[in-house]
Amino acid sequence: MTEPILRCEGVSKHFGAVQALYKVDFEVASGEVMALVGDNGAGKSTLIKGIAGIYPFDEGQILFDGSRVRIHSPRDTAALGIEIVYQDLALADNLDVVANMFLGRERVANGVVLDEASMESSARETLDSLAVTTLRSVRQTVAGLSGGQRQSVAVAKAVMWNSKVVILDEPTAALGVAQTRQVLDLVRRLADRGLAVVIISHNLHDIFEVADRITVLRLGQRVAVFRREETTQQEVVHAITAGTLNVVPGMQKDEGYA
Amino acid sequence: MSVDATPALDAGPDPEQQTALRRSGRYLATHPHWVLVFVLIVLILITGMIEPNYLSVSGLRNSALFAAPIGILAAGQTILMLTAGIDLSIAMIATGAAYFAANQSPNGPVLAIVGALVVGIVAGALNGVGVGVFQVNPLIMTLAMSGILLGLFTEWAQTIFAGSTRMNDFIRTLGGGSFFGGRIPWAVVVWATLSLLVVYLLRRSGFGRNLYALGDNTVASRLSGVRSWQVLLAAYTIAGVFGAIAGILLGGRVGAVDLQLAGVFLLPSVAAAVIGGTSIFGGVGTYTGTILGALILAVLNSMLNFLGVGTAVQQMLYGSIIIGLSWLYTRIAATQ
Ligand SMILES: Nc1ncnc2c1ncn2[C@@H]1O[C@H](COP(=O)(O)OP(=O)(O)OP(=O)(O)O)[C@@H](O)[C@H]1O
Ligand SMILES: [Mg+2]
Repeated sequence: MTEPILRCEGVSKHFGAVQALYKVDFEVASGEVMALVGDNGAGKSTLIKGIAGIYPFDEGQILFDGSRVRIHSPRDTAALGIEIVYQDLALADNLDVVANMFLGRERVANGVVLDEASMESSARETLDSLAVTTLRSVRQTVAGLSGGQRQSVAVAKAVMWNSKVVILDEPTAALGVAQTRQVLDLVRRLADRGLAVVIISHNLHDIFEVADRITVLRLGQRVAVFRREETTQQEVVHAITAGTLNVVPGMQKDEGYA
Repeated sequence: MSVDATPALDAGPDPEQQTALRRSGRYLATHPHWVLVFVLIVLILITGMIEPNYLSVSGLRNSALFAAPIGILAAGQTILMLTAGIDLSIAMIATGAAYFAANQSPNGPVLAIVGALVVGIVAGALNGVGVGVFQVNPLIMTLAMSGILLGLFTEWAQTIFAGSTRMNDFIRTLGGGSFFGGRIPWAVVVWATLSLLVVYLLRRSGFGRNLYALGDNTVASRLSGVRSWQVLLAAYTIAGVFGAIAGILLGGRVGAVDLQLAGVFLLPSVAAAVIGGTSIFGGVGTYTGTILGALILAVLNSMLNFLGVGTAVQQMLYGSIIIGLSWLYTRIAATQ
């Protein structure tokens, strides 16, 4: 196993009385697709948001490429080469595809003026390299795109920045069969290029199609990590619903699943 | 398109009329500027019919002179409305800036203008900190700022500013004077220069793009790395500066300052942006539209003056225009 590029060690997070994460370890290596699964409220999004710098963790540390890093804002995450695709929060509808891909990191020619030509060619290059062929024009506003096209744009936006880690929070949740196919193919291609990919999904069928490893969270704790070829959907489902928990301070008892 | 094929689903009593409304609505939505240019020309012609002297250099110049401060204030409103914000203190900022200019007028035009701009920068930046950093609702922040400024200037009018009501000659020329044989007002030159700057900023700069993005989807913009508080701070400060510049021009045109100097321009500054198609909800609008909006209001003002309609009724009209157009644009957006 190669050294993980991104690793969380013993991270915890609580919101008031809710212990959303408790001493969670999580890692992903370059070139692999790591799936993150768990029931509603298991803490998947919270883990991602901690890595993103939206809510800092209460304890634990984040290691990137072997060294400890401090993340305070989404810009810090991006500066490390970690890009996150949020399900509904990825794009501004009134801007075109190119403007969205460069949002917040616009290229300017002489200090102020947007360098549209160079942004457009980079955007097109990235979309082509990912074989995103369903877009008619990179100058159309994203308001008019289908769910799959939007997701493709969001993913392309994430990889354009020479990122090393791409995290996708439920990228296929709102998509139909063909569009899900597109996005999963895209995910596989990213990993084949050597990127580390984390994908959150409730659809085990999709996950068994693309993931190399599967991390299971349950009630804010990591209860299992599986290699895809060594496990079955039943085993993963069992871990999601009844994986063994450590005792959390203040927690009464396991809620009677096991 | 499939949208055209569904009038039967409309609940309205008269489907044909609905479709016509929709068609014109959609045309207005996709070609708003031509409609505005058309309205402007029609208004000018009607005003010319009411008062033939209006269609002369001096008649049109007066409208342009009236439009300049509205257009400059509305530039601030447009920039802020793109972010789903607004500046209700902008008229008070203008009045305060004019007071400072008058106060410094004996010391020469440079100090007078600098003094005025400082008022705009400080008040605008405070608004920006409130909205951008502390996330106070823009309506609340700027309404409160307006109240604070009013209190402050009312107090100072008796003390620090006592006697500072007369404007420096340079500023009087800037605000009310013309060149080129009295044809072109200096105020219009100031406005035109600022207009080029604003149009350029909105269309071609990263700052402009971030304004549109923030207004459309604040969370997505932040997560994408847009430094939202810095963008908002800059936007409110710019609006404050535009308020100050408008105050200088207004003070210069009137020649003297009092607490009521710019108050009546608040409603038109919002109206100009709304007429020009800028959405109160953010993310949609252009300054070109706002310029046309300001010109339309100025011509309307001349027309109403010729008809002997007073300021009170004019304010009612501006208010009605804002309400009517906001309703219309919401309808258009809903049918798209
Ligand atoms: N901002 C917040 N404030 C308070 N509680 C929160 C907040 N965000 C998450 N939580 C709580 O933390 C727990 C974990 O939530 P999280 O969103 O991480 O779950 P999830 O695994 O992403 O679930 P889902 O599959 O439904 O998206 C939940 O109990 C949730 O109610
Ligand atoms: Mg979630």
